[in-house]
Amino acid sequence: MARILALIGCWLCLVTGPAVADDYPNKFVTVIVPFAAGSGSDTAARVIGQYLGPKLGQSIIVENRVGATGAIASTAVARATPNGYTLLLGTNSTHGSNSALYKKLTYDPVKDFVGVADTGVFNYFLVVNPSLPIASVADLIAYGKANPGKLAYAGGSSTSIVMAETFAKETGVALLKVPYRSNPPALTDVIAGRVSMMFADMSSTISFVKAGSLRAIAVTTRDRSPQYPDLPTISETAVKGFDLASWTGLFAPAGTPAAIVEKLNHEVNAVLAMPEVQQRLISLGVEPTPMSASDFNSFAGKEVEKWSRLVKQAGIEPE
Amino acid sequence: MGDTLPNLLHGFSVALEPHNLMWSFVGVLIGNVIGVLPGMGIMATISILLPLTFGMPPVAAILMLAGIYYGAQYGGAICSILLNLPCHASHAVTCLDGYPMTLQGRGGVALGITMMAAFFGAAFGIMQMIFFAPFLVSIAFKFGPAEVCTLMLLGLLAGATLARGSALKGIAMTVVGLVLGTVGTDVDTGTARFTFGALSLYNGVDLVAVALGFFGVAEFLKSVNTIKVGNLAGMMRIRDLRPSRADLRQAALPILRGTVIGSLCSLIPGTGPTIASFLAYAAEKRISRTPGIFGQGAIAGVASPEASTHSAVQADFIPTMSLGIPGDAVMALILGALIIQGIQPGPQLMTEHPDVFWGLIASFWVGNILLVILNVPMIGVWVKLLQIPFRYLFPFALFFICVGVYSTNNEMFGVVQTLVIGVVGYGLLRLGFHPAPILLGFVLGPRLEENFRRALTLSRGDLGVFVESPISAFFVALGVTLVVGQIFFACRKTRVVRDLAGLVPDAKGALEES
Repeated sequence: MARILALIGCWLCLVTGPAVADDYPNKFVTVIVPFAAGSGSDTAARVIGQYLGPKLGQSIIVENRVGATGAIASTAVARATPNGYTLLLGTNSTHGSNSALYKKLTYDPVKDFVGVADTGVFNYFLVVNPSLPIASVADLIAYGKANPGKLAYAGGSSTSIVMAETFAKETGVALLKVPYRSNPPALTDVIAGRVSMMFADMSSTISFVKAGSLRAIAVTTRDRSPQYPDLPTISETAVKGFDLASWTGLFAPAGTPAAIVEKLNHEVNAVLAMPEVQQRLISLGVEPTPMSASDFNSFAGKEVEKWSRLVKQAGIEPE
Repeated sequence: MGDTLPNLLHGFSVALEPHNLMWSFVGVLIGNVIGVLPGMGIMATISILLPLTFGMPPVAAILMLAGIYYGAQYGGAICSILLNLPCHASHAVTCLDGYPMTLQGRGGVALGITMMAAFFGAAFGIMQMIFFAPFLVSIAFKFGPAEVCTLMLLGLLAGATLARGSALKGIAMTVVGLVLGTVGTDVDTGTARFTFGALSLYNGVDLVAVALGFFGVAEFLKSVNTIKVGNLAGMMRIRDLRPSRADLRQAALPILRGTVIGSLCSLIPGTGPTIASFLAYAAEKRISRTPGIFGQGAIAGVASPEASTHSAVQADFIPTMSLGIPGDAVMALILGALIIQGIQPGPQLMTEHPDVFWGLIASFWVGNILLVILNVPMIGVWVKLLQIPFRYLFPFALFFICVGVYSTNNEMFGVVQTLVIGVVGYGLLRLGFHPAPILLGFVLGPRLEENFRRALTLSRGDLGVFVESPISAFFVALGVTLVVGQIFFACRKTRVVRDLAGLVPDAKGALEES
């Protein structure tokens, strides 16, 4: 009996093995997004999926599995068959802060996955309520030191809280933490002036900045944003080396054939090079940052280490 | 303001373009069907259809997606009234009086009233959006954590005795709802509460599961034992399909009050149609001269929450479209669709993309009229649903519930959750506990807690924050009045009973003397 099974196994390997990369994909590819439909990462995934589908000759299904800051979706993909048909849209939460947010994570961000392609960086603004006498990061620090206990920040996500806590620690300004479930109510309170400041992604804040109901005083990446070259970085003004932004990228379960990973990486990068895709992503506040699969893998590994360290430094207890 | 009418006319010219009109119609039609299917989420539907809109012009895309959202509300009440099955949480409270009306053979009347309440509520919401959007938005910013917290508290106080029966049992169930609402990740500290290690509970118990479990599944389990054969058709007479003049008179004021409550609720971030419907029902029962008839087929108990839901749904678009701040997840998804189309939502939308803004408003009118035309003749058909024997109807409905719940997060966990809640709900029903206040506590509780803590964080622990702002002071005063009034009336009632009891022996004595 065992022999027969072994024979069948060998036969299956022979039949399916070599053919995998050549005829991949021969059915639809599911991309599991760990956040709600309509959120920034979801919208970016859908835009990319829309152009990636025709390139692969199969449709891309975007499936939302919300919950536990992405741990549910990541666990599902980590346990999926590594055949390239189930992919994860990973972020600096799933492959970053979650390692420090949970005592026992149900997946290993490094061992359970292989990075496929980087899909872009969400740059963040540091915004303040415009009624405050704060026009720059230096003003903010001076104001915070002159009025201890006055400044409060709204946190709409763990990323935005980590940014604010890191900023507070590095500059020595005491900031009161006011957490929210999501960005919209947090922004409302900053606009209304109940909370002084917030770190929030560009796409959810830009219209308020343009309308004058919020004032953007800095971006959070190391380099200035190509879209807003006039806005200084925190790194150049107050905290040298401050370089935080959320990012998204495609991951496959560990064990996915290298040929499939390479093919996907090639096609995703080709999609990211298309002018109309770039324009759409930029309007979402996403800066496309294509890289090779191996570069992305080492980038993701470093991010896991970096965000875990920052979460611990920010004093957020693991759960 | 002076430009409003020309703008609106422009909007109509956009909305009535054959192409846009067609997509609007497709949207409301899909929405309507989705609305009738139990548990089939608007979120799931819109995210499935989202890729379809990529190839469409922005105006058509947004008209269709918005149509799904408000179209679903028209279908939502149908199962609540006829089967006690809240297809959407925002119509759960309609079950309380809608289903008793069906049992009395007045299901058609309830549906007719619902349609009127729906159209009136929606029309009011749209008018608000046309004429008062900037003003209302400025009010919305006045609602901070302290205001929202006191409003939720008021809602809980007013609604604790929502369902018929013992007040004590009602309050007990509200507390169960509050406890259920604490499950999940705590916003302030990130601590996971009562999740028992299940990742799927980190975002809390699913609202759809709670609504469908406690109402739909629990009621089915109960009916299976009580109704042996046959169906409800006997309870339905044709002449009862249309509301009589007396019905209309009873419904008029509740519709008006529900509409106002709904439109106010939708302006406060995070307070959507579901909360609006509960507050409207609670307010209506409080105001009513005959609170005793609520839960036994009171027309006001159907008219007010339905009007509230529909006006909240339409007014939900005010902060979404004029500010770019989505009131709930569906609105966030619609904004996401705009962004994919290359349109940046926000305060400038009205001036930068008048086609989208005014076209959408005009399409609301067109869509709502289409929905009334679609639905009113259908009332008779829906009522015929009841002629299907229960042995076919219930399994089918359960099947749709499972599919619907599954689709909310593509997880089997949701289905299990609903069934477990259903069994617990059945137990509660058998013991004479009505599950409606559970839903109330579940919906209001987390918002109360979150905003209470946030208000105290911002005030650095000073409780005075709840009476400093006039709005929250007003809510606190109303709440205190409510509680004191309740105690006063309860005391007086027992005194009257005692006095009466005291009178009897005296009377006896007097009789003996004479």
